[in-house]
Amino acid sequence: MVEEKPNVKNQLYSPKFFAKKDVIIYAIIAVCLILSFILVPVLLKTKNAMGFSVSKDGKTVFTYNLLDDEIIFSNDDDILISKIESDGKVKIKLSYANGTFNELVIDKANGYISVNDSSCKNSTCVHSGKLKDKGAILCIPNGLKITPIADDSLILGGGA
Amino acid sequence: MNYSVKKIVFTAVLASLALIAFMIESLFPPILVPGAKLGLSNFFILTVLIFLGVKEAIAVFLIKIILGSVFSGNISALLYSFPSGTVSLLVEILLFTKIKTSVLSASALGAVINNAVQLSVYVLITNTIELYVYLPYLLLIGLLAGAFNGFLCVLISKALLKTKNFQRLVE
Repeated sequence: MVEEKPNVKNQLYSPKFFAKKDVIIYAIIAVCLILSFILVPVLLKTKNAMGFSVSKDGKTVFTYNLLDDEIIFSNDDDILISKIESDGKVKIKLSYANGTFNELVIDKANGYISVNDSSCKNSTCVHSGKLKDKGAILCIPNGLKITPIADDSLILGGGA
Repeated sequence: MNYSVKKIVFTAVLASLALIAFMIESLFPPILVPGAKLGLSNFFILTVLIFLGVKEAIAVFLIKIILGSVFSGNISALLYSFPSGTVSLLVEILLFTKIKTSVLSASALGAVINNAVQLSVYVLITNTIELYVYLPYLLLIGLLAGAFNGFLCVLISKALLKTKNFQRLVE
């Protein structure tokens, strides 16, 4: 109780909001940010994106061609697929053998695909939002992967 | 401040606070972009770094990241969070102790690097390079979140140092 000391002697650090060398750090961050905003969308955009490919555990479940409005399912007995179409939107529910599922929605008019519902805990796939011509939607627990595909790959992979 | 009971208790309290912040945050869905979050637990690690030192900050980081993934029942998350967290903490320590930047800018760059590394690990594991579309947004969110944590850390450190009880604790 007696030892009242007004000054901190062994203080490691007197906290500051700004130090001179901060300028370099902020400059590095700014350059990285600007470069990423300019380069990433250009580099990752799928040219002639014409549809989507949906795969589970590396195997294609179906591809969707926006132009022909055609869904090509690959034969896989382990996945139960139900398809409901209304108001220019296609709702596709994929139910897997172990009781898990993903529900996808394709917005034909705007060319988007999104995950509406999922059995997984975090629902990262649902929060991933809409996918058009760049990016991917993943559902790690269910092994689901949705990516945009370009025109020529559709012709190669398709076949009516 | 030698290895005293005071120091051990202070480290333990901040470690549990970091863990609690981590657990509460993991209950919320990500901000705008998958995987994005404030990383408030980093504020406590920075505070430990300022007042206690490098070894203690690393200890608190390890406690937070290992127990955090155990408690949230998502041990596989360590795969992403451990490499990124380690790299960003080392960068923060280097900037703060050796290069002598402010904690604010160290935290900002640390968070930016954390997000970039974490996304890269994610891309490698899932083999989905398309996920790099999130990179600009994750970097921006990292900058904002890191700067916020750093700002909070300086603000609270200043306030803490004005209180006599805290001065006795740190000495």
